[in-house]
Amino acid sequence: MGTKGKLLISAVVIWLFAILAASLLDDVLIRTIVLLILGVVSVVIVQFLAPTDEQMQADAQEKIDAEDIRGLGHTLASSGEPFCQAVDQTSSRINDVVNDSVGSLSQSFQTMTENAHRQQEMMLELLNRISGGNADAVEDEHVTIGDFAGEVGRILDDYVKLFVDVSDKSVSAVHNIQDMVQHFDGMFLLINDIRGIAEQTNLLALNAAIEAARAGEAGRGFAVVADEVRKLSQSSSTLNDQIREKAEVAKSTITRVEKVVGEIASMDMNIAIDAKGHLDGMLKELEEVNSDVSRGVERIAEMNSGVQRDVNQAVTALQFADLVSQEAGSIREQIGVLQSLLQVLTRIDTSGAGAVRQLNSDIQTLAQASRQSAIKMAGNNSAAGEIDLY
Amino acid sequence: MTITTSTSADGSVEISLAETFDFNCVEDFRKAYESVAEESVKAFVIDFRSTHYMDSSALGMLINMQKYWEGRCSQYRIINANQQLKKIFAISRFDKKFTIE
Repeated sequence: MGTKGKLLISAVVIWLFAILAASLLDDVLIRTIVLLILGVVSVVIVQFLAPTDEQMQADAQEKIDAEDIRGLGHTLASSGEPFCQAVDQTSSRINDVVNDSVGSLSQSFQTMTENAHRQQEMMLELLNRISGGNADAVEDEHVTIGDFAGEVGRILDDYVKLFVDVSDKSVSAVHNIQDMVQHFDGMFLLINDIRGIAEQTNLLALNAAIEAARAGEAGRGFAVVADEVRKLSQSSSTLNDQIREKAEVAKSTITRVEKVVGEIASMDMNIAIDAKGHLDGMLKELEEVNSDVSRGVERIAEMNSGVQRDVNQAVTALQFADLVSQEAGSIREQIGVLQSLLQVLTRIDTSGAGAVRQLNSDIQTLAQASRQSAIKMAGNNSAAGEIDLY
Repeated sequence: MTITTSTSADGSVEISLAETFDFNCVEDFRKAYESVAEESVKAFVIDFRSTHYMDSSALGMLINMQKYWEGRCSQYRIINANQQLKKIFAISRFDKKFTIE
């Protein structure tokens, strides 16, 4: 029998005493009213003092053993444990992988920055070499295309000058040769005169010989002289012929020289013009290529600076690794809370309502810890949104 | 293929060249400028109107003409030369010794 039953009996006893007391009162109306009031009061007392259904159930649960709760708690904790461990390991692996990757990424970026820097230096050096733009490089032995073009132009001018000079001298030589040929012609006239004189001398000698023969014995000596004179005139004539022959050989040689000099002087100037034209064209093209290359190198150098900037930013962005580590730490912390939650039932050492209170208190404590951890995580997340550059 | 010479009233001598002005003209051209009777000539005008080809000896002949008249004539004009001939005069810097028109 429960509390309610006991109370009901108490109420009935009180009520009977009340009836007994009431019988002492003579007024029926008052007696009735007092009885009614007492009846109502008894019912109300019974209603208020009677335990509720919930209390009755709790009363029934008081019988549940703390041992059973701990058994259940161990089952729950052991079935949840592998999951918690898996999450813990995964977060740990995430941390390791991210740290490794970030390490090699940082290494790569550093190498990249160094290479980009070297490339930039090389480009600038190349630019200076091509354009000769660096004032410090004036003393340098490097030949720019501008120098080359100027040098080639000077060489060509010298070549043309030489050309004109040769032509001038050759024509002058030809003039002299022509003068010489004229002198030869004059010489041939003189040779002809000499030949005439020799022939006349021969005739005179012949006449002298005839006159000597006519004089007889007295002219014998004279005949000898006349004969010698005739021989001399003949020798003179022979010599004259030899001189003419030699002079003619000399004249024809001179004429051949004139021809050779003429060949030297007669060069086709169109070749020089074409050469000059081609050279000018090529130099112009070279200068264009040169300026194109310069512009290209400048652009590459600019792009290189951009690459360096980007790499620096990327390196800065790699700080996310720290954040990932922190996140992983938070995950592990939360898992710890979860594990504690799973352990809660195993720590129950009281039975009945005491167990419920203990459970409630433990859960409240753990929930508080979990909330703090969650707040910490949220703080990290907002920090991850914007990475400070250094 | 003849070279003709004419003297104008203002004292300039005009020498008109043939179709080609090359080594074969050395003698004729020399005669043309040496046969000028005047002791002093105001100007020599070389007319290339008919000329379409010349070789390097032409340059030698022109220089020899200048040398022959050095100190007696100071003005030498080349007229009516075609584009190709003008290029030759330009390359050989003849525009500094002659007035190319």
